[in-house]
Amino acid sequence: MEKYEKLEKVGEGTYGKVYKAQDRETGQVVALKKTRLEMDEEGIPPTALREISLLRLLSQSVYVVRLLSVEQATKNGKPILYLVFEFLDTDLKKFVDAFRKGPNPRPLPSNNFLYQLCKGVAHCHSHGVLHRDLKPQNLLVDKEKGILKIADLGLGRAFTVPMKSYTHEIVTLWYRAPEVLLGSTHYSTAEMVRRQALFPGDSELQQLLHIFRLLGTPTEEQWPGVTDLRDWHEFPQWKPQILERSVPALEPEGVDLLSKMLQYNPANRISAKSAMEHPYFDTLDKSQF
Amino acid sequence: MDEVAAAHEYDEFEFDLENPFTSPADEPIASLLDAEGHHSPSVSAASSAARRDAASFISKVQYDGKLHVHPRVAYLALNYVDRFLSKSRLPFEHTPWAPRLLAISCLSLAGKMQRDSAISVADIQRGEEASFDEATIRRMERLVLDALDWRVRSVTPLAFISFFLSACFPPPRHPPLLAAIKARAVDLLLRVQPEVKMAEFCPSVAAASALLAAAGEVAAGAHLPDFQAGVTACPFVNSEKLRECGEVMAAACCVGPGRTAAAAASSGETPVTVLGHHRSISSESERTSTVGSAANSSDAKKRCMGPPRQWG
Repeated sequence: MEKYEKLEKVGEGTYGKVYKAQDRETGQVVALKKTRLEMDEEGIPPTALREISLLRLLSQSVYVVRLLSVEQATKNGKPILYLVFEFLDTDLKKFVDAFRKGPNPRPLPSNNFLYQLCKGVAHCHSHGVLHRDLKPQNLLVDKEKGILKIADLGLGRAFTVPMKSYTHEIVTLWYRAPEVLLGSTHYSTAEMVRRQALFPGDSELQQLLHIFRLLGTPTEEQWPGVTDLRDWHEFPQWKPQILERSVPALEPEGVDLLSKMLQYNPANRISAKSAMEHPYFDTLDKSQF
Repeated sequence: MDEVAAAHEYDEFEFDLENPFTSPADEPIASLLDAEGHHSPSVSAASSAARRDAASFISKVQYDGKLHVHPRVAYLALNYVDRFLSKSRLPFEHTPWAPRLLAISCLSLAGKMQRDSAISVADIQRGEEASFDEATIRRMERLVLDALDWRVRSVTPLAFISFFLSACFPPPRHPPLLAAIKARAVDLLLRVQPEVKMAEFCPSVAAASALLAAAGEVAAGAHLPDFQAGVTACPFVNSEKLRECGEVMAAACCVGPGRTAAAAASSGETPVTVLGHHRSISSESERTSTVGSAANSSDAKKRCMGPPRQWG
């Protein structure tokens, strides 16, 4: 690890400390993720091997934060694994906040970013990987190139420590799909771009109620099997609201796409790949991607 | 979180040689074709002495009935050996033990990639005159991972089987028939892997060729012309390479169209014969193919680059 000079600790990721660091030789700035993995006499644990290799596969896309290398170091006689990622200092949350609070509010490149997100998500899906925790904090922005990249992918089983922090949990909830909140183990992903969270719930129940209030309480007709999901109980019967009112700034094509992404029945929800063909992106020069 | 815990009960990160990208993807073939060039061993690595020694150690372990090493683990391990030798120089390559150390480490890594396939490095070394300690093997594992750039979800011929069957096999497609063809094709690919000349073909071509040979046996030739036409029509399949590969496979596994399943089953099925075959053919091809074949992994890439983009 002498190859890198740690500059500062930039966070505590779901799987360990994250440092901003610099390659002493090339000067490249990187994000060093120190994993909590302990390698014993069995060497690299199987789960870690499978996950890192998957990450390696996925990070071939520019819309996924690139895993540059995997470094092994020794501390107190124990080998430690560091994952070296490209460093990006802005996430979508910061980026959106800066737009909102900035001195001269400009329109966000929403359809451009959403297209890139769909591309990244489609890439992950084509390799069989669901993110499960897509949220603005996990979407990093390369401000100079205007590229949106998916971060914190895959690494689940071998690395994740139970998320204890209450605030973290809340943030995560805001973007959680209803079938997940209802205890379905077959996940799908929902993505959205908005300046403020559409569904800022502070508990799982609150989160569901937020969703139901806007989209209406789901019925068995709309979403066959919903009442059999593990955590289903009787909820107040809300009627769906008009989506346009929640996103007044969004043009009609955008509202249409959003409504397709917010389908209750995961089977009816638009896939990232089909979303890329949606008219919302017609004004976009797709050859740039 | 209960949900999170529940999601982890099934292991989505499992590695399956027949489906390296873990799920029924929308268009897996584009990703596979994209990847195969990076995962193919070079011809020079395949014909090296280190490869021969490592391959024969893996065969020995594989056919040792007491060790219960799954054929797919052995297959993946030899793929790692090939890719390691294509990318990197084996430390102490001229010692008699270096290829064995490489083989053991690759077997161990391959075992870790597949569920319920853990390999005991002590067991597989039993009976060897000198055995490596854990620390040495783990160090070698790390060298292999570095050389492979941690890309250990290898795209091998097995990954292409489902594609060819679903895209090219003519109707009526009876599931038991397809299953039998697939099983035989997998079997052929596992068998022919040690053959040095196979390094000349990219994984998709090897898969196509194994399937055609299998279909020739299992379906008794009835579907063969249509299937063959379908496979040849794939824009990324080079029909000349396909024919050559079929010949190599026929020579190495004593198979080919026209042979019945029963005949194939009764011939060459014992490990000894398989090994014997591979030895004799490889030594011959070593003489012929090492001359002027300074192939490296970029050659392998070139060899395997069909027109994949148009499939994306």
